[in-house]
Amino acid sequence: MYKNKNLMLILKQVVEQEIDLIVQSLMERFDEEIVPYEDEEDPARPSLCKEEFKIFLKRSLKQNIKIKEDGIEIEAGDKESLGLGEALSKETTDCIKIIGTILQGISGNYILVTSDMTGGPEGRFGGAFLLPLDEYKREAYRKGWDPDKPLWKFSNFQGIPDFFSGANLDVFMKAVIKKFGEELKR
Amino acid sequence: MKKFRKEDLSIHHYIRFHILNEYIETESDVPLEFLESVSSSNSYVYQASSDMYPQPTDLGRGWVYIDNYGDTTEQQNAITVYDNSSIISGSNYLIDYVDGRVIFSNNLIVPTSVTYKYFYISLVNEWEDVEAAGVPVVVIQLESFFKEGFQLGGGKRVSRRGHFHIFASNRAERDDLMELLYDGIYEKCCPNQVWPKGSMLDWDGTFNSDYVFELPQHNSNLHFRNVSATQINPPLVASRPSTTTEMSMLTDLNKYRARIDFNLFHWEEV
Repeated sequence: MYKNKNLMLILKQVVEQEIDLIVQSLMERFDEEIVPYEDEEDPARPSLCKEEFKIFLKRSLKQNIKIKEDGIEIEAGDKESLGLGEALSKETTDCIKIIGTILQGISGNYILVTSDMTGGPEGRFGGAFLLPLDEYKREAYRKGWDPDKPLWKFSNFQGIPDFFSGANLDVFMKAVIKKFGEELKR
Repeated sequence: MKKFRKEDLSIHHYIRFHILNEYIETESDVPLEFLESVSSSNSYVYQASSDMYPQPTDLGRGWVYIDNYGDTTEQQNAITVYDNSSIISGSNYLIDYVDGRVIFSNNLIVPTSVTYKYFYISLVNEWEDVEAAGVPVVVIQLESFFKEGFQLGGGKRVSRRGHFHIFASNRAERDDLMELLYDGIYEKCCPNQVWPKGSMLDWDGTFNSDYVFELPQHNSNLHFRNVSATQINPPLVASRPSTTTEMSMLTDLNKYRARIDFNLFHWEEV
């Protein structure tokens, strides 16, 4: 039993060392399935959030490697930041909100109000949100926003529900198996 | 019809009549209005004018066309047409279940009202249809598939990934729908129908009298596995300023959402 526990700790260490390969696989999906749909003129387009998302993924993956009875479980993404579940994390940023919304999908026509427009705080506690087109038109005059701001390009985007569960982990698994074998030989 | 569409139709039918049957509502004594523009000398069309919201004939809803799940013939108890207070025999008219209309071949009988059962939950296949359908709505999404051998000597196991996206009008409705759909497919299976003579409704919304229930030979039922349910809270919607202080908020289609993820598989013998 004690020996098995040690093996699990070694495996966990190996997984931690190779975690970049999962991030890489997810970022490939990001480039292939999100970036092509963005508006190149949009100053809040997802490709500008790429580095932040990459750091977010790496951090959340590392925090969620758990030793289970029969193996290692890795949970990708921070659910409360991405919009899965009842609660929404207050520790999230505009970029993570934008990507989280794209991954969950949204139905209807929306305008993206960024923290630039509201004068809200930038960075980690950014205050971006979406308003339905009609509601935006009503609010724009009162708030001094551009009444002709184009529709958010990801309006009526059906999301990528299997973004995490459908990631290709072949390269990661091969690397982990190889490294784990090497560790055991030592 | 290709296999994928047949499977989609089979699931649609199972969800509609087996799982969501408790969301079948009745509207009584709805006035019927003569539609001159679509009528002719041998077709007198009457439209039910409902005040309900959502409208019983909105996209993905419609009138109920069979009495029970498993029936293969047109309903006998879901629709009743009246001439003032007397019931008109069903042999005198056709029903357009999609548009909520009653069609007579002559003008000897003039109907005045109708009582019908209808689907309260809209069931659609396209994400783009959600807004037109209006909440509550369930989107059925079947996506990637994977085929692999499962025995010596041929045959394959066909596995697909699927999702039900739930859009509700309030928290309670979302939670009810999420649990109902989850329980409805968890460790369950549904008939994998062939639909050789088409679906139950014809292109014009009337019941397809040629409809037959048939299962494919050497194929298993459609099995649901790895079912999970999650509430969906799109961050850009959830973080909007509160109604009272900042915005005059309208009801948002994306406010009360959930998703059921599942794998769907069946076996095919060679």
